Amino acid sequence: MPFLVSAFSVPKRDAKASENQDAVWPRLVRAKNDEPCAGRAEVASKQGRVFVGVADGATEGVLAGEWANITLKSLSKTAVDIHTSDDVTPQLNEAVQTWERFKRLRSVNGTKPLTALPAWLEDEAVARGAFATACVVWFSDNGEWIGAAIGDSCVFHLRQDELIEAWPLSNSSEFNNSPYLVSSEAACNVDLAKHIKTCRNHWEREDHFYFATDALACWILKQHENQASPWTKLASFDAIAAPDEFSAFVESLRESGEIRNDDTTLVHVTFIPNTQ
Amino acid sequence: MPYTAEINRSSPTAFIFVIDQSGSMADAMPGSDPPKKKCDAVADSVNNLLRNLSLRCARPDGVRDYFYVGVIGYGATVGSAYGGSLAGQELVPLSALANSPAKVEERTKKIDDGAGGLIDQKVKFPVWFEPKANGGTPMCQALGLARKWIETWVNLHPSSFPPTVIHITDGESTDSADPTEANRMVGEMMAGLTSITSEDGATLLFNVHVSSKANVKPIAFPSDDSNLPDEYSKMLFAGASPLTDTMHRVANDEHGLGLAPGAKAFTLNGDLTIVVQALDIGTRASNLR
Repeated sequence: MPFLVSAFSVPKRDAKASENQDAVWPRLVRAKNDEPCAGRAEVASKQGRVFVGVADGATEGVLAGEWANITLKSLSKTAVDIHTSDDVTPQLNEAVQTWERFKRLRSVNGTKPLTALPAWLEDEAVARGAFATACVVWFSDNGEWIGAAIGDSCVFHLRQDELIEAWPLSNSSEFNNSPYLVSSEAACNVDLAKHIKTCRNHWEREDHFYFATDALACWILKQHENQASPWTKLASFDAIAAPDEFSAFVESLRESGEIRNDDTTLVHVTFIPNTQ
Repeated sequence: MPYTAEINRSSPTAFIFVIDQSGSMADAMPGSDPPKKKCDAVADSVNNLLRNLSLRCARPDGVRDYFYVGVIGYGATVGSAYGGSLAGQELVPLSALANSPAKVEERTKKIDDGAGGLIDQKVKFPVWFEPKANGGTPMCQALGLARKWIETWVNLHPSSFPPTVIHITDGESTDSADPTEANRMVGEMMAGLTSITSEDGATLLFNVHVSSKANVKPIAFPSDDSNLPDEYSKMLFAGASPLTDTMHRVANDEHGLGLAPGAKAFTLNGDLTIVVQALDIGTRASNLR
C-alpha cells in the first residue's frame, strides 16, 4: 500500500536552514543553503509497513539535529512488532552506538575537533550529549498503525476532517520547555523506558495524519480547543508547487505571537487512492 | 507581559556581575569544605556561572551571542574585573568570552560512578575572573558604574529582555562613615538600577550576601526577611528584584525549591546556578545532567 508523504520544515527566525535541528523520516527535507525545506514522495511499504516520523533536536546540546536524524534512522530499522516501550528501547540504544560511530567519523578518530567550539568547551558540551524528541508511526498494510513517542512532538489522526486522535499530547497545556528526551549519552537514558509512550489504532483509506514538532503541535491543539479547525489550512500546503507557503504561514503565526519562534516541522501522510 | 522577550542573537540580553573585592573577602567562607576564602569561593562561583552560560549557548559552529557579559570588581579600585585578553573590557559578547578565558585550569570534580558511589573526574575549568581581596567597600560607586553600563545597553537594545545584575558582597558599604547613611545610599543606588527598564521589564537585580557569620544557614529566594541574620542581609533583600514568573516556575518545578509567592532574587550563602538555568533560550531536556 503506497503512502503519500509531504514534509515541510522551517528553522527558527534568527537561524539558517542548516541550523534547523528538526528531522523528518523519510528524509524529504534537507537543510541546503537557505532554500525552503519541503519535499514529497510516494512511499511503498516494506515488509508490510511504512515508517514515518519527526524528531526535534533540543536547543541545548551540540549536534542535536544530527542526533535527531540518527534517532529516526535507528527507529526506522525496527524489525519487531511494537507492543510496549521495551520493544522500542533496543533501537534507541542502537542509536547511541551509531552516535559514537558518527562522532568517530566526524572527528576522524578523534584527530580533529567535532565542532568550532574552543577546546575547553567542546569536551564538556559533547560529553553532556545531544537530546531529541521522537514521534514515529509504523503504518501496516493490514490497516493498523502503531506509534512510539518520547517528548512533545505529536501526531494527529483525522477521519473526515474530525480529529480522532491527538497523540502523545492531547492538550495545549501539556507543553513545556523541559520535556524528558532521548539522549545520545546512555547515562542520561536510565529512565528512558518509563518515558516512551506507545499506542495502537487503525487507519482507513481516506484518513489523514499530521506529524508536528512542538511549536506547531501546540498551535494545532489550541486551534482545536477553540473550535477553529486548522486542518484545511494544513492540508493545503503543496511541497512541490509552492514550497515557500508553509514558511510564510509559520512566519505569520510567529508575527502574530500565535506560536513560539522555534524550528517548526509538519509532515502530512495520506494513502494513495486507486491502488491495491 | 514583562520578561517574555525572546533571547536570541538578534535580541540578546546583558548579564553584569558586580563583585565585592574588599579586604574582608579574604576571611574564611563559613561552612566551606575544604576551607576556602570568601573571595576564592566567589571567584569559583562567578567563573562557574560564566562556564554554564557558555555551555548553554554552545552550538557546533561556536557559542551563540545570546548574552553580553560584564564583570565589575570593587575594593581598592572599581572597574572591569576581567583578566587576560579581556582585561578592561565592559560588556563582552559571550562567544568572545568563551574564546578568551584568562587561563584554563584542570580541576577534579566528584561524579556518580553509577553504582552508588562517587569517583573523581578531571575537568577543564576556565578562569576569567581571579579572586582579589583588598581595600574598602565602595558599593555605591560600583553600582553606579553598573547603572552606566545598563543605561547604555538598554538604549541600544530597547526591546530586549532586560539586563540582569548579580551583585555579590559580604556586607557593609564604606561609601559613608555612618552605616545607616551608607545603607540608605546603597538602597537608593539599587532602586536606581532597577528603575532602568527595557520594553520587556525592569532590570533584574540579584543580591547575593556572602555572610561571614558562623552557623548561618543558606537561604535561597525568600519572600520575606524574617529569617535573615542582620541589617545588611535585610538591606540586600529589600533592594533585590522579585523573581520573574519563569524563574519562579523553574525553581519550583525543576529544582523543587518550594518557593513562596513573592520570592525575591536574594540568596544568603546560596548557589546561583538556577539563575542561568532559568533563562529561557529554548528547549532544555529534563534529563540533561
